[in-house]
Amino acid sequence: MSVNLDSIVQVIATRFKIDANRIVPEASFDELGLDSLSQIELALSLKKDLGISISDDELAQISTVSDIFKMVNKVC
Amino acid sequence: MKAIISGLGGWLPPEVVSNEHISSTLDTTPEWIETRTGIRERRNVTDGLSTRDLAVKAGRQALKSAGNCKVDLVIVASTCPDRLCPSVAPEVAALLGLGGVAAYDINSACSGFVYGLATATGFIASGVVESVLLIGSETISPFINPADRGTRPIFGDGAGAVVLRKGSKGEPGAIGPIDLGSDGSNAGLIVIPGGGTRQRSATGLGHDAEANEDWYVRMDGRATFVQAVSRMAQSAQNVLARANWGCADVDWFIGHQANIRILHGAANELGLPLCKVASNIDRTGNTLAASIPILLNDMVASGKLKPGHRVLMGAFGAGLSWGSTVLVWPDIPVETIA
Repeated sequence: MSVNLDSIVQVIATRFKIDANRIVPEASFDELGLDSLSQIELALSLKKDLGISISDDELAQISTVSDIFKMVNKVC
Repeated sequence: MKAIISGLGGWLPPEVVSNEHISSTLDTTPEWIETRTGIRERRNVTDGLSTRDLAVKAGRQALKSAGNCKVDLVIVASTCPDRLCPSVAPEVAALLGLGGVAAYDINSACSGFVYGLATATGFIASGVVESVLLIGSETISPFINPADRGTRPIFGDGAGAVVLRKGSKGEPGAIGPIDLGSDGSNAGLIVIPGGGTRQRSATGLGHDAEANEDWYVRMDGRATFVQAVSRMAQSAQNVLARANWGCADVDWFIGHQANIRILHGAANELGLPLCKVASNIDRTGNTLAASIPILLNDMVASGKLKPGHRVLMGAFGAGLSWGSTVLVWPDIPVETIA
């Protein structure tokens, strides 16, 4: 199973009410206005919407949208 | 036989502690605290006020709201009673002039109020009593490490109370299905290690034998956040299914005021619009077992929660423990909590 970038962008856009056009692969959490708690919130949304579980250690390595895409496709 | 909410009250100690004050002694800012918790200020006890004192104030308000009816049982839900023994409820009952009624404490941390509702419901359903005064009362500030950025901004002191009487299914205020749960394998996520028998049996008497930090609340914030969102959402789903309610039937989600982002996370999991998430955490902080009745009081006093509204109530706390219930809000008078 693989997850495309659009699906991840949609989860982020919906959960954090961000314009999807701003959610480009190189965008960092900081640039999107997201803080450390947002990583946890995103992990919960990825599990709920896409059925993907990301551990706390894996979460700590994420800083950009591209990182999320790579991590999601590594674990699923 | 059902338990019906027939009175509501609350009380907050007057000492207001702002984010600015906390930020002056910790490596944080008022904005950082507010964006991550939703909290702008909280109340702390001063001048020797204790859990018992706050319970009496809130209990008196709830009895007044219920028309100063008699009650057969007083339950105080608290994480931080005045001492290990005896429980504070008998003193509270005496100070409220309730005579020799049954009285005892329960401790299920932040879930204590929902556990208390379940306990009161059971007593009334079994016919052992006809009415209960249930008080959530917490003076957690003496247990908070002033140097801990993870807990110092979050917790506050306060008390809230309800009166429950026997009644019939379908009456406004009737406590609906209740879902309760626990996970002791995660007991270490939120804990006050000192003061109990485990340390005494290991180290003997004397504070010198224990680390100073053991007398304060410790919390793994990240793990607690994930557990709180997941457990509250799952418990709420369970109780909604048993009540045959959908999310669209809910007018207000009255959740334990742990952190506004936990509440929003749980609502997101449930598919509940954020406009249905009730909150007063900006002015109270997390008051543990007292948070739900204080929030109910604020919601009624402000006119947001009206008779006939359908309420989904949910809590999560140390233990771990969690619980949920539903009810249709009754028409009861309250006074504003200053």
